Amino acid sequence: MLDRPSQKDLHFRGQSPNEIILGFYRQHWTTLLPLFATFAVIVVVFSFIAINFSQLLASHDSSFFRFIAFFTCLLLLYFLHHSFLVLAKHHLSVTIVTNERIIIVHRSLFLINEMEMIDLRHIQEVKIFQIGVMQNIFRFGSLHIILSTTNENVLLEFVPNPDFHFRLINKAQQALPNRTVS
Amino acid sequence: MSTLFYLVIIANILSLGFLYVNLSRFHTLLKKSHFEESKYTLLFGFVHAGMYQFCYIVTVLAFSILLTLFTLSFS
Repeated sequence: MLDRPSQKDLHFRGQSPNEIILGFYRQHWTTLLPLFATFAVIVVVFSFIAINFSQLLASHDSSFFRFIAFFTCLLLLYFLHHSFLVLAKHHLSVTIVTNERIIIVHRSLFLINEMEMIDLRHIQEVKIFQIGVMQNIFRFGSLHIILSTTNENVLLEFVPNPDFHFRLINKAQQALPNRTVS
Repeated sequence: MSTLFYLVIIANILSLGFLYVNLSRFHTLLKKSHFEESKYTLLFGFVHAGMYQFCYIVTVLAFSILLTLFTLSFS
């Protein structure tokens, strides 16, 4: 048997020496649709304000309109930073499938740091749900993981290409040493 | 200079400070994991972490400059 180089902490902290990453994913881009929609609305509104505001200022020599302009700009600044925080959260939150377990990481820049781990040996059943036009056209869905050890089930939502990840988990389970059929 | 101008300058300084803090934190968190990205894992198949950061820096800087110029024009 060939000696495999140690995988310890190679791709993420806590990776065991014999653990190999089979795949990982981030949630589907449709989770970012509210952000994109807000962006579109803000661009339209801000363009409208920018076009008409100079005329407003010229006609009303009041500090009130200037402060409205200032708070509009503050809102835009807030939105810019908020957008980056949302995108960073999307980028940092990953679900990793290894040959031993599934690791679900929810992480944002400052507020969230959650990690959940499912041992492949404890998975009794995996179900795919792709319901609705959006999910079938854009190829995303949910994976419902039923565990054999507890009554709690795990629902992975907005999984891109759920068929592929379903097969990936299935293959990883079948390749487990000392696999017991539950 | 009007009060509005000074308020905008303060807002810009705070914004740039927040930009720096966010980016340094993002870098720190990215260092903790090394995944082999592919078109199946990236946003829309091509948007990687560098692009987020680049767009973020460019938009915040551009917005700060525009905001200052906009305020100066009314001062």
